[in-house]
Amino acid sequence: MKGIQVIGVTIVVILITLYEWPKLGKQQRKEKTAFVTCTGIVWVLAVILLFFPDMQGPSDWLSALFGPIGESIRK
Amino acid sequence: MENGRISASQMALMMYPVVTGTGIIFIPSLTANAAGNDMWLSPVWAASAGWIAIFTALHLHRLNPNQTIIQYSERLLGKFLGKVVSLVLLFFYLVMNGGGVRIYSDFVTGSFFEETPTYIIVSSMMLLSAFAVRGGVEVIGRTAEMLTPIYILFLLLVFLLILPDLRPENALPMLENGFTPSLKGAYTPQSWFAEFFVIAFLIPYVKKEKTAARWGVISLIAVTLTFTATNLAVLFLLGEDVTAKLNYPLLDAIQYISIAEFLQHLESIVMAIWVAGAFVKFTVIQYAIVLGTAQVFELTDYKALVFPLSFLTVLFSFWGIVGEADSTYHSSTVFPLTSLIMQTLLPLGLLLISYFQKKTGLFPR
Repeated sequence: MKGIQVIGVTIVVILITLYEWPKLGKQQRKEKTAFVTCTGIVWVLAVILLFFPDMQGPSDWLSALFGPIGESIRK
Repeated sequence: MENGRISASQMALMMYPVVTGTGIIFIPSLTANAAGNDMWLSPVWAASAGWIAIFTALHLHRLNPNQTIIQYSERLLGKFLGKVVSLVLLFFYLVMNGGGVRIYSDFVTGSFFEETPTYIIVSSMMLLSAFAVRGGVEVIGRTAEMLTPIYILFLLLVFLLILPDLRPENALPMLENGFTPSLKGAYTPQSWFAEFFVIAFLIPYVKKEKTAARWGVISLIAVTLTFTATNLAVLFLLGEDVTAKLNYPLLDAIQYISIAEFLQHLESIVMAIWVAGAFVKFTVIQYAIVLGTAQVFELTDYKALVFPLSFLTVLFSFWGIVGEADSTYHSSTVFPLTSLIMQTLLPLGLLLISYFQKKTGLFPR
């Protein structure tokens, strides 16, 4: 099941690349780097989340940082 | 980077759903919890965050013409600190949009599509908004111009149809404990009003910038009236105790509508219209994220980043959010504080630096 999901995520990433890559001009090296970095991060994160769906996320970090103060303000 | 231009009225129509989109679901029960039967007054206090946001965004734009917040924060704070602040702001909007999409999909699956997996709802919404963002600011502006008036019209219709069932005595005793409860109730909605600061990403692309202030204020007043009317309607219909316990009080209020046992089950139409409003909301925020990211990294075009960043937003709507309890906790406790820091205090700080720079002539470009 996880294997199929990983393949699914990979297909989405490949489709995005096939759609965007030909539209980037030869001069746009910086844009290409940004696109590859961004897509790579997204693919890695998607696969990690498929295997560890309960991983602590950004909203947990923010809750840990601001939750106690927020609760005291609400009272 | 962005060659499109929008009119100030389009900007106003873009901002209205940005604030009301998720707010109209959460604000009634959150304010009822804190303010009791003075909940209808809370949005009026909370609107002050919107006034501050519009004021700072407009003045920052006046002092730093034709630049978005990403560009002038770099100029005002220096290259390194400016980029750090910009990235933190974009991260904040990414978490906000991911959380917003999750609220939307939980709402849709919770009350309508009970069998549909959440990720289908989230992905289809983000795919649609990715296409709109890719079309540029003009496309988003016209989409808002087309959808928002229908959205407002249906909200008015709902209020009109609820009217016969209202029991105004639910609001009594009014201001029993003074203004304190209603001010406490304003703490959560102020973060939604502060979302008006998103105009800092849009003003550089507004034609006839001088009208931007007027239309921004019109939009803010419309949002304030909407939230006040929603809270009043829910309070008059259900009373404070019931409202505080419900997850989606407005939806329950709409389900209540029955004119001559003929006009019933309006919630599905209202839902369809609300989805359109939520779509405008996510598109506008997504546009700000994509444009901002391209500007932080000084790219010539933002279009290539649209799909990867929309995918990232989909991931952010699942990462660390287990269920609706998480969303409610985040919206009621964490988000008001992070929003206060990122959308109210940070812009005010930037404005102070900007004034200081202009007065003294220090830190030239």
